Amino acid sequence: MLKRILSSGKARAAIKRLSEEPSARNYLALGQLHATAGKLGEVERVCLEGLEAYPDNAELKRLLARARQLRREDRTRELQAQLKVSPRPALWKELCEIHLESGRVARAEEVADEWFFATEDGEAMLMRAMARCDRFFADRRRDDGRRAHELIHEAIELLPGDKRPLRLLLDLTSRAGAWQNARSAIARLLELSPGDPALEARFRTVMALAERCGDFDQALRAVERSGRLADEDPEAERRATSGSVRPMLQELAAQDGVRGAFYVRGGTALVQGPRGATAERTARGVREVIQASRTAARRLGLGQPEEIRAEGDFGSLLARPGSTGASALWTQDGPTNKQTAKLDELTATAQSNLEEQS
Amino acid sequence: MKDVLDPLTRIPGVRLALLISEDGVPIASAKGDPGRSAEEADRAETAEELEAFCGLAAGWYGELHRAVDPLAWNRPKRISMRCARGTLVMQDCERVILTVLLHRGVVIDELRLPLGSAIARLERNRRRGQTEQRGRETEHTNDGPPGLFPGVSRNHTESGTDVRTQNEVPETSGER
Repeated sequence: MLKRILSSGKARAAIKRLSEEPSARNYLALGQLHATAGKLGEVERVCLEGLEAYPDNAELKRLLARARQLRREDRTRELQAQLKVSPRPALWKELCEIHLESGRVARAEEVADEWFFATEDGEAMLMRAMARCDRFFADRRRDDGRRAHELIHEAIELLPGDKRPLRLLLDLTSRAGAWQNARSAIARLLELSPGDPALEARFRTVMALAERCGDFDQALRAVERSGRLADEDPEAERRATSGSVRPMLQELAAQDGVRGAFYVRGGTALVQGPRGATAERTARGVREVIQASRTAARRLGLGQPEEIRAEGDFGSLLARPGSTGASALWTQDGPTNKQTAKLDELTATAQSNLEEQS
Repeated sequence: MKDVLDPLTRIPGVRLALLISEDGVPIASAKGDPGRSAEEADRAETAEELEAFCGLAAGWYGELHRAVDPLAWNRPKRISMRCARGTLVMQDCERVILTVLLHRGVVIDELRLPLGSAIARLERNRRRGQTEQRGRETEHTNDGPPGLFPGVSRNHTESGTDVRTQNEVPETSGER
């Protein structure tokens, strides 16, 4: 009670400060006060208002994402409790959707399996397929792709005349680069909605691509080998990185015990520390370490790598792979917490620069 | 090998501890905390999957070595990879790789000391094994076929003095 009174007093003061000076810092302060009071809806509202004025503010974005995540977790608990008392499709469906939104693909699949075994419903099968597709898009494993394909076909059989499983099939096959399968999916969709101009345009594009591609299994193999889906533009990865990455690399390389700082994206590498041929050779080595680790993580079923570390007589190499590029730090005695945080910042900056460019 | 792996599996968050040969053959394994969700539980359950896991993990170690080899860096002593669905830590110990699979969220540095202890235990076991083997080899050298006089030691007579031939050089001069 006392806490609530105190926090409401602080919130009033924060609202007053915000009205006097509507800065991102004040929006953040108010959002954090609401978060402390457990008012997640208010946090979300304040963050959205702040992001309208300051759309690039990373802190506000983070707070909003955290508030949404907490709300989803609350709802998940409620749904799980309700499912124990009276299990019904609407609850299973909502729970699956929440898990998928939160990126908890395996949990979503578990719930969808439970739903399907209880009801043998086509909707449940579709949810299983969606979960497995998400898993394939995240991990890029051939087995996941194949299983998703099977589940979608089962969903199509259970839901005749429904466009959703066909749309999912189209999504899976086009992202995997299996254009022949994508073409047949569009043809089936056109049977359901004849004359749809978007579908017809897509059909024409896919027709041209289907002539020079292999079957679904070959496409899956290519995705697993390269780690890249067909809709990911390799040119975007090769584009020169923004200038703001270089000063951060220079700052890192100037610190005590740091032998080299790297940022690698596609075929481009920014190196600070080693010079000349050594720089080139080291960057190549770092890139290979990251690529080998990405492939190994996928094959081992561990998902996307977030941190790779190698230690030995040479010192310590720490790499932080992002969704497009990766930053790495070679130190004498292992990186300090400050250096690790800086490396994270570098990866995030490069990522946001790329998003802005695109 | 169990005494090396079992203490590791008792650490919270350790899902699997393995000893793998350099070429990816599993030597010993011990299961730890089974995990709470399907995504954690569906890995390396059967023996075949365990073998595949070991092969892939050792392959990754080898690839990392090959990647840093042109930089004149020695083979990494310890490699780790934190991923979306778990963490893999591998530490080299003279042609054997100690491998630990952790649940998501476990801090890798917390495992540094237990892994060091496990490596020390492994090295101690290996030294003990080598000493025992050497002892057995020494025994084997004395277990040759019996000579002309069974029951008589090959190198020594019953009285313990050397059997000498007529033409050998005496150890001391004959002039006393």
